[in-house]
Amino acid sequence: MKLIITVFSFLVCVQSVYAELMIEITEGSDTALPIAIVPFANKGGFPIPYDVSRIVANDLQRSGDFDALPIGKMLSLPEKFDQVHFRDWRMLGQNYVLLGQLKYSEYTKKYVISYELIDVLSQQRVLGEVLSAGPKGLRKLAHKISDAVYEVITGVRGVFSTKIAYITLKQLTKNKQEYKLHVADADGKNDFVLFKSNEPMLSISWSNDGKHLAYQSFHSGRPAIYIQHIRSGDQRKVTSFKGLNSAPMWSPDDSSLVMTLSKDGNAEIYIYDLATNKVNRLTNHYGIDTEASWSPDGKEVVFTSDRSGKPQVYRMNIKEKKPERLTFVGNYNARPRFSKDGESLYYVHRSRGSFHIAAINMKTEEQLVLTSKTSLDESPSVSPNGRMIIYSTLRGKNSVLAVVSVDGGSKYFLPSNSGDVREPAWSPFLN
Amino acid sequence: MNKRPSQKTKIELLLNAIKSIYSTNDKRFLVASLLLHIVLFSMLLVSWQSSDPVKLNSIPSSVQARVISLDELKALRSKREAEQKKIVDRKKALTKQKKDKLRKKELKRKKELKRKKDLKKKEAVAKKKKKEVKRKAAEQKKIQIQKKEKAKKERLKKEKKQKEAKQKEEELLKKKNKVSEQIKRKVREQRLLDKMLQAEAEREQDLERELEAERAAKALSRQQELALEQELSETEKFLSLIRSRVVNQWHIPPKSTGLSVVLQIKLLPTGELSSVRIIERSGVKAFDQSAENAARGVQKYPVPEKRELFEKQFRVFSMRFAPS
Repeated sequence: MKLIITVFSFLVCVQSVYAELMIEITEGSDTALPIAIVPFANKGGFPIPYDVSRIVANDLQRSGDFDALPIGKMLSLPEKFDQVHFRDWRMLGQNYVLLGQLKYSEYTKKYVISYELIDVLSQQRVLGEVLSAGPKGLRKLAHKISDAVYEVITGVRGVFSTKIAYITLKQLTKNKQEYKLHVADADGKNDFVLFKSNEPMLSISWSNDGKHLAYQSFHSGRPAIYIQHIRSGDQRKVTSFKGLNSAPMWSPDDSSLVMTLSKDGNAEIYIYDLATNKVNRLTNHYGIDTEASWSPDGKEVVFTSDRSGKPQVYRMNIKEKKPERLTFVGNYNARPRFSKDGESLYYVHRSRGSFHIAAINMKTEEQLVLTSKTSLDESPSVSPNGRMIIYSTLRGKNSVLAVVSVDGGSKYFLPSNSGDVREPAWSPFLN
Repeated sequence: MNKRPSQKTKIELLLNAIKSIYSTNDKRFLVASLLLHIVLFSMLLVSWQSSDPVKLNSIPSSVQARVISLDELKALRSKREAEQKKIVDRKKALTKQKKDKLRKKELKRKKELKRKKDLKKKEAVAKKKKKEVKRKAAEQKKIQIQKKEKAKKERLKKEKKQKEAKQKEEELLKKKNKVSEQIKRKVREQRLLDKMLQAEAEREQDLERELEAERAAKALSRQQELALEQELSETEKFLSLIRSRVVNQWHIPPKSTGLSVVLQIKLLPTGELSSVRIIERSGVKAFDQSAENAARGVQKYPVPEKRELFEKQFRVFSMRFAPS
């Protein structure tokens, strides 16, 4: 009898399994999303200063989220939706195809670009626009297309139209060096020098409106913190207290800077109010406290302190002023920067004598080293969409800029012909 | 001296004449005078009541006297009497006429009064009659209500009686049934007892047979179980293969932790995708699209060759995409 009941129950279970068949997918592919960016057709044959579709392909490829199909592998080069042979693109394993046309208007002296993004699998057009720009604006326009494509597919805003700032060092003579403060597109192109000096410059920080930079410079003969307007070049000295004036970082509302000062005898963290020029001391410890940065909500700061004997990352509520240690793995963890959502913290971590960029999850306290293949990584700065981190690293004999995705999945270097490149800072969204 | 009497003699003569007049006709003149006065007063009274003013003859303010002889006096007196009588007769006639008029008027007034009185009386009678009718109607209504209430009470009483009777009947029936059931049960128990005794005897014989049947059933169940296990393992195998193919096609968009989308997949027996439909959205378009594309991206789904298993499990199934 028992057996009969068992068999019956088993059958019932099996039947219920049949009724509720559900396949759970909790993982995805490790590979980037395949996309074919077909060279935009030049209607009219007027010379084009920039290859727009190539810039878009490079942007998407660099993000690490896309894998652009080489042009040589394309079976056709459609210009319009109705020229797309879906079977071909599907055979090539492509999920999306970006195609377009470009035409120069003698009348407006502008290039008119129309492009379409096509979902190969659903065989539908998911994006389409007509844009125009002058010859100098083509690069910017290409980044705009990249942003739109990135956002429609991933749901996250693209950062291809943002800027980066960094400092280059050139050894002029044995005892003379030249430091330059550069501002460039996020892909490292289109750069210009905002300020140069024979004295060191450090710690660049973008204001959240994207109009100013704050940095530390020694060009007046002693360490001081400056703010410079990017468009006009106007420079203003903010602090030059006795001793250290370093590591400025804009507050989320741009009303103040958090910085390191040693005017009271020891390197401590202060908040400098830009409207009243008053300072508010946050830390008070005989150890060195420096490299502070704000939490996204502006209620906390994180900073490096060697109060435990070795540099470690601490967090402090700016009202309570009670420091809390966050990093415990390794004997060197410094230069912390919050992710845009405040859920992760990125910092420089030393492991086996090498310096890497690491991340710690603020909820689970799980630590992940993002840049294990490079050494002497420093100065991490998070992209405004929170997806990428730019940092400087040693490549050969020179310091270069590199970008890594926040999950450590992809990485690339930014080309430079300016010797040592260091102290990168990623701008906020600029439009 | 005799022809011309003195002044004193004249007066005495007049007085005597007057005295003689009064002495001869004293009673008639007095009655006439009284009547005249009455008539005058009556006329005055009537004229006060009537709208027509009464015209009185003017009385001469002075009397011209002259000496007359006794014969003349007698003639005058008879003439006056005749005139007086005529006046009196006319006055009488007038009075009578007036009286008649007054009487007629009075009669008319009385008649009118009577008519009004009669009318009032009639109205009062009619009113009374109406009131009476109304009262009677109210009384009738009251009687009807009372009748109805009475009828209702009677009906309820009747129903109650019927109900009680029914209850009694039912109770009686129950009792009867109970008794009957008890009897039946006793009979049945007795029969069962007999059967049990008989069955007890047969059980020994059946036991062996039952054991044999159970062994056979066991063998059959095991076979079924094995078949099902095989089927399930087959299902699991294909599920695993499908999962693997879909995972390879799924490019999870950034910042998707915590999102979940469920798709309904319909396949052809060849493993080709017939249709894909989102049945539970995540709320993030890019995420839903990525899952849909993953499902579409599988060129051919691995499915069992057994048609029955395919129809059961793989013709239509669901996939939940929820990155861990």
